[in-house]
Amino acid sequence: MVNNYLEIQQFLFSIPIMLIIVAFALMLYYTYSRSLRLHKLLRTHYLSSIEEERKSISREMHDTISVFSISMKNNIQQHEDIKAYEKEAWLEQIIAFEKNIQDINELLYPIELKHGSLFSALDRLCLILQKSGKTVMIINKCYNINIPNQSIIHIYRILQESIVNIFKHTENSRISLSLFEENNELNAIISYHSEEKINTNRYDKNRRGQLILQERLDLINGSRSIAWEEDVVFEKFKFQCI
Amino acid sequence: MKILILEDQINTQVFLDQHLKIHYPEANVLIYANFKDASNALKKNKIDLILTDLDFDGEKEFSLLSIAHELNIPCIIYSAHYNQSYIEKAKQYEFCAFICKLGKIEDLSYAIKNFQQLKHHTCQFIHQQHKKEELIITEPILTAAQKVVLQNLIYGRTREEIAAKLKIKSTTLYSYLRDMTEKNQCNLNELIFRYTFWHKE
Repeated sequence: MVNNYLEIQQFLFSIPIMLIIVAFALMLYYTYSRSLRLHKLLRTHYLSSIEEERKSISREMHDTISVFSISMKNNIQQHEDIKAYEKEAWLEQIIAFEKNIQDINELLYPIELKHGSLFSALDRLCLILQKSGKTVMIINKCYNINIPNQSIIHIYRILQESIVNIFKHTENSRISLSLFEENNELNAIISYHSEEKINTNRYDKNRRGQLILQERLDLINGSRSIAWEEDVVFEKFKFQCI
Repeated sequence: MKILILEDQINTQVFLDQHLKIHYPEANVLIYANFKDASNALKKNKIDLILTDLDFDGEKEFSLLSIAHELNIPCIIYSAHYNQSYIEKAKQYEFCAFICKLGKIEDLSYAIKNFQQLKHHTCQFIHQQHKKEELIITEPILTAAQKVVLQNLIYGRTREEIAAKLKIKSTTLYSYLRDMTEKNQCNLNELIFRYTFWHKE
């Protein structure tokens, strides 16, 4: 009888302890998930402010350059002391300068995304790169793909960063980018020549560009991997669709 | 003749006014720096031509164009934007001419002078900006099976995955790759590039 009583008492005593453990675990889980949410929020704010900053610099440049160049061109054209061939040469130089500034502007903020699409913005990026002798051949097999609006700028930036990095750090002047949908994901494969076998460890995760790229990937639940086949590197990106 | 200008930069306003007076000395030119005043003026006056920038208050880019379209007033867009998507969007409103501020002044003169005959006209600068360099790339010579292998590679599949999918041995796949590059006298990256060029769509 006494033994039975003690057994029941032991069980009764253990209930509050178990409750405390469960409450503690719940609290830990809550704190952890809150910190994750906070981290995601901070990341979103950080990346949005980078984009906003770039957008405003680009807008300022866009406004300033057009006012400046219209006045310059008008003055040159109206000047009677300047010979016709000199006018032509000066105007050509101003227009070439305007084009360069506008290209920088577009790299800074892809205005094409406003009324166009991710694909037309990538096309535009390739057109700008082509002016410096770098060709990206795009094969686009995405039909009726639905990418979340908030992800588009990040996908564009990830691909822009990766493409520009290849041209910057390798000897390649011709690379390919294939875009297709698989399992409700947008797949982007960048392929380029490399005699050196390259794997995922190649990424220097401490570099600023790579850090931001990874932040963007995490934010939109994207992934990347790298494979090397017969002197060709395949950088593979996967982005979630709606 | 009444012409309405919507432009927020004073220097450009002066320039446009001067330029319009060259072609239409008798014209009454109304100049506005913001969309609200310009749209009010459109309601109160009978306007024969609108010369407008696109970059207003962030989101009001095509608003004046839309009103002009409703009122059937010819419109010349004079903007520093030249992206294809902007031009396509503007086409919905039946503009006469889309002239980029970054191009030659002659293009603007041409549009002002001939606006009644123009429809969806774009300036030389815009044409140049959208012109792609003509690439001379020969189509790779590939058998049907080799094409399948190459397509799979382009879609990021590994050698093992391709071999498993096509139910062939890795060594057979390797010989396919070797044959392809030897026959086309280029490396695999160049082959992918050339194949992509010919099968973009």
